[in-house]
Amino acid sequence: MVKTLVYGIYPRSARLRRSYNRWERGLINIEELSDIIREEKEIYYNHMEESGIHQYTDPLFNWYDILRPVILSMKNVRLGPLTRYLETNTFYRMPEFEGIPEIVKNIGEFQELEENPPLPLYQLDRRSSIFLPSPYTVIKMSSFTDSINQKDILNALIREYIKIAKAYERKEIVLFDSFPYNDNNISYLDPLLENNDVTLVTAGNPGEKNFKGLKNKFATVVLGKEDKNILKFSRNLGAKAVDSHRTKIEGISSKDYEWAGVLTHGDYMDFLPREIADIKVNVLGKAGERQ
Amino acid sequence: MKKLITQEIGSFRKPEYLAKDFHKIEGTEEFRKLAERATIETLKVFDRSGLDNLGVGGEMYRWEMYEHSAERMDGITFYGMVRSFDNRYYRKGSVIDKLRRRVPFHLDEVDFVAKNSHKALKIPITGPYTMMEWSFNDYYESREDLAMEFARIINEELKDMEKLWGKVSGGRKLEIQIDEPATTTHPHEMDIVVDSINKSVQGIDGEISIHVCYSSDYRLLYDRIPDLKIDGYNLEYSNRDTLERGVSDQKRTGFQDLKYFKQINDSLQKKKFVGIGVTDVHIDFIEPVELIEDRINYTLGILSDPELVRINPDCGLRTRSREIGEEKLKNMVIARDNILKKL
Repeated sequence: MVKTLVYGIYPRSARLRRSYNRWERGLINIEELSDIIREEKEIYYNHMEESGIHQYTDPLFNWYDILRPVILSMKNVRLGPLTRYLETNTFYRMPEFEGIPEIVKNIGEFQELEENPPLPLYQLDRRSSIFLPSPYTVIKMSSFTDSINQKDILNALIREYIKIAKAYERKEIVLFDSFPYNDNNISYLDPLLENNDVTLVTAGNPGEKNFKGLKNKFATVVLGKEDKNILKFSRNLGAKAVDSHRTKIEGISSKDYEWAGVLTHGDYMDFLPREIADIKVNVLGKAGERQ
Repeated sequence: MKKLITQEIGSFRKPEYLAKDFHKIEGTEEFRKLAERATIETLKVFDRSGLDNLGVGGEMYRWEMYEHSAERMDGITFYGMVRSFDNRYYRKGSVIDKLRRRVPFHLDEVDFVAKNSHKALKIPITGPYTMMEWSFNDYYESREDLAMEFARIINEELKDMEKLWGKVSGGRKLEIQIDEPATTTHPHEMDIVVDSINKSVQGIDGEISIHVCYSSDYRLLYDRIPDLKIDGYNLEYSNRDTLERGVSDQKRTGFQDLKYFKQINDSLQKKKFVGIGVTDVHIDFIEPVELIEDRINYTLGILSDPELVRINPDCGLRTRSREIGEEKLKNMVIARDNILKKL
């Protein structure tokens, strides 16, 4: 058996989309929306468990993109224009950093923010874990005033992420990267690894040089292809066995990912229709049992 | 050729009587009657605004630019909705088999509009690259293969349209606008963009333009102007411009890269026209006539020849109410008229 992981924003059901629409038009209030989100999360958690998924994050039904509402809970950063996410047809609001970010909102309370969606960051029911955009990805997806040193932002984000993990008393964190590291080193993540089990979902094909200098190990590093050298920095390797940008259902062979201790998907599932995402989760769960 | 032709880009907000049950009644006699009524009403709006080119009366026959064509093909299925942004979703089709055009996409609409207007008409059709980019590809080997298949189908549609146009045009020129908002989203795929568009319009005798909007880098497109077998470019500029008056580079930030367009265009034997978006379709603010004049004058300062410049909104006006859409178009035409008097 191989561990399986589902992470990040999961597609909203038709009911949830309609409910958001009604909330935006003032037809239901924030408490009613909150109740519906919680009910929808129960359906999601049931599906994860029935499909045999070992680790899953909060489905983030109240997130509008992978940076909100993390960014909205912080000071010294505001939301900029709608911007294309990578080469997809999905758009996010680009954060504009004006100083060192720091969480100033009560991230655990349900509340409406100036720019939707409402907090809390998570409703961590059952065994769900925390999902966070990696600081590297936040930087790549943001803009900055000239005077800001991006290294300071990276370090500040790590500090704030540690606070988030403590606030929710969860040690399991999934950090998600959508940009290849190229020559960039990510050892600044070390403080976050000290007390947490961090799974890192990478983009591209990272190598040793990107991880050099880390004193603590990741729980899992998810890679596009096998690279045993990464085991110096991670207790486990993960494979992207399911494609979140195609609706075709994968036939996952047990031979394909013998090197991996964790099976997961390539990007977060929000790029798929909900109906297809649910089937892919089933397939992933079964593949985990077979491996 | 006429100077500073005014035109719309395609869509206009549907009246409530058509929008509310659109999907339920589509394909029925009731739908046809309502779509015709809405088209006539929108043609009147465009006519009142003073537009030279009335398009297809605001695309009243089409719910959405991707879905309309995709639903009329075999080989595509729809599994559900996919997020575009925030809580906005669209139906993204999955290509699961060889693509075939099951029924024509736009012939009924073009037939009706041509018979109900005597002005110039520009017919928009969603381009092959955007159709590919907005679909899940679960069947074809590569993105290029899929784009070229869409191109083959669009070419079929355009050939049928050309035949129809011969019967209903009353001598008017056939004008086709290939809508390609996805054009520059994958810079390394510009060859696919060029090849698929060229294949789409192969053998079509008419004036062909392309509409692109919200590109992060129009230069990718300008660089391929010599390769694209089309006559003009209808582009969005105002969304990236300031709302301040003036004709300096600082005030007209959104229009500055027309200098690069001119550089490429000057190298061609047969010059291409550019339709400049002078009104932003994403804001309710109605740009004053003077601001629109500044935008046109700044453009003329770069391109010089008013026959190579057309005047349009950034994109389809379906994003705004019909009233605001009409006001924006009226100001656009007044601004153009004021400038023509001084030329």
